[in-house]
Amino acid sequence: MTAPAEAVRLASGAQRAVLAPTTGSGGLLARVVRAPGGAVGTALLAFVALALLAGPLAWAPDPDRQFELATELLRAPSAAHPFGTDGVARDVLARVLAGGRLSLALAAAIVVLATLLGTAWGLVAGLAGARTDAAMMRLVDAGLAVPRVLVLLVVLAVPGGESLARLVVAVAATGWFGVARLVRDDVRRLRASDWVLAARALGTPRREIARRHLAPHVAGTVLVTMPLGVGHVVALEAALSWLGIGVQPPRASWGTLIREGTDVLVQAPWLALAPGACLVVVVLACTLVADALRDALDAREGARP
Amino acid sequence: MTAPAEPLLALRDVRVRIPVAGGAIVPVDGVSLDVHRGEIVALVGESGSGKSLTALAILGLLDATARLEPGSRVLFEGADLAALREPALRQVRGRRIGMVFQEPMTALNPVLTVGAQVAEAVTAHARVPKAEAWARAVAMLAQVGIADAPARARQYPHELSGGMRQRVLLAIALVNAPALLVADEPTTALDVTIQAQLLDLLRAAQRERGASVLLVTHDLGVVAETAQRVVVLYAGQVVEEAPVAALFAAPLHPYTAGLLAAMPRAGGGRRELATIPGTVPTPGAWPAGCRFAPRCPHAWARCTAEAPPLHDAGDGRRARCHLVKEPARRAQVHAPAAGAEA
Repeated sequence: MTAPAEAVRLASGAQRAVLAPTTGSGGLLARVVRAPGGAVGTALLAFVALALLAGPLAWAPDPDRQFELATELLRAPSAAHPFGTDGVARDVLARVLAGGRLSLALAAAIVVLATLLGTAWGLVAGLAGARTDAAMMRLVDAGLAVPRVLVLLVVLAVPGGESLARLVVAVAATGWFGVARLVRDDVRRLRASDWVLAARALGTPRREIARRHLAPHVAGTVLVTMPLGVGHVVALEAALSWLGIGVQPPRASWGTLIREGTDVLVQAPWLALAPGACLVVVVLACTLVADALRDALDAREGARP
Repeated sequence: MTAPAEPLLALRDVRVRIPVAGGAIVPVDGVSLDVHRGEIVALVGESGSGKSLTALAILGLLDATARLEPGSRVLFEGADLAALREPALRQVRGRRIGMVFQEPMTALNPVLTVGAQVAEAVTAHARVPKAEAWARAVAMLAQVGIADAPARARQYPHELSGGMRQRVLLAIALVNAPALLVADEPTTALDVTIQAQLLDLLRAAQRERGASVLLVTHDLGVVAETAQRVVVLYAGQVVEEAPVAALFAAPLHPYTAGLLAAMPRAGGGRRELATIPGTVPTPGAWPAGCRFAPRCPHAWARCTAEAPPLHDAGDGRRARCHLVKEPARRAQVHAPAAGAEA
């Protein structure tokens, strides 16, 4: 019954339900921000977002502009170039800002796509009969069993040059298995819950049960996986770029920057350090937010006396 | 005792079959019972007797593997619910038959306000504006004794006590003024004082709304306080059926007698409570002959050889025991057993 479009509708309705304010103790976002870890994570993410978006206004150099090769090659951080310059005399700060925009945009696109795919798959499997469910979940098992980077190597190493769209689709298409399994297990568990039985006993139509009684819980689960997914995908994109199958130079992403930096790690450590540190900060912040999100959802659902 | 009027609900030969590895079990094996209009009938039995499955079977709420066997009939308001398909059944659920569940902790959705969950019962069966559904939900919550209902309706289940949650479940079941209320162990999870209040509410629903109640319970104290008629279930079969006073005064089936003897009584002194030796046999391992025979203090050869039918004992009483038709032996059994057992 649940086509992907239906799943999208379910998910969006669900998010509204989850984000609706609760009595007494404030909304979900308020709870996330109030938790110590959540506050730090949100602040870090906000700072990174601000830096990436507003940074170019304060720090003008074009990330592709080459300064005087004779004097500005592999210069250590200074007032003129706060993060130093790279092997072809480009400003590293400008490149980190540009790379961050691309890396995080890619990650967001990939996570949204993979989450939608996985949620739809998990919903269908969870609501389906035992046989369909088994078949669908064995496919997920297979997907989880195959080494992801290997698959991506094969898929992305085809000739034809860089394609960001292909990168997004390929990474998303190999990254939805975990979400699918979580959603499916959630749906199975909820289907057997007393309150779903109670809803059936009062004559609620099946579609309404899915919308009111399954979706909000599933949305909670899915919501928690998303920030974790962003952190993971940024790291994966860096790895792929490092392998030469992700974003291609001269375009800057945190992955390509780290790769370029490792070539000259001894002479100019700042080259790899700057984007590497940014990556660590973003992954850490995402983890903190996901953690706080999980606690906040838990407090809402649990609170069992 | 019972008028010859058509019963509101009549189960006829209800069998529930669950396939298991290497065959199938039949945990509900040919249950027939009537609930008349305005009557409270208690369905009593130990864990594993099939009473909850019987309750779920009435509304077609058995889970995916369990099936009503062909030939089972659930006659309600002129229709056989066992033969209805899902959309037609949905019209009955919550509208004509309300269901109260056992666990107030888990039968409410933790992420919806209780008012929304009562209102859901309204909108499931009537196209009414949201505001009206909400108003009816709040009014119903007030009727089941929730103080400050307008504020409580906006709270989540975890903000309410167990007793209040059970009241909410009752409100959900009653909001559409059903003709029949099926209550599956509605008081099991509650304190005794709260239990009494809830039973009052059930009786009030019967008195004021003319609703019939099928009360599924293992608690004979609850039965004595609430029901007019009792149906005792053992190992998936009705073993005794009687008006409540008659049953408590003189049970016909040794199993019922055992249950009554196992009840603590005020003023009973510091005696040890009687127990029935053994446990309910699991479905699939039911003994031949009378299913209670292995645990029965009065069993003799005939009991293990021949399954007794549900004998009619007159005065609206029925019992599935050979003793009913053997007055000589019954007199012999009852004379020494009366005092010696205690």
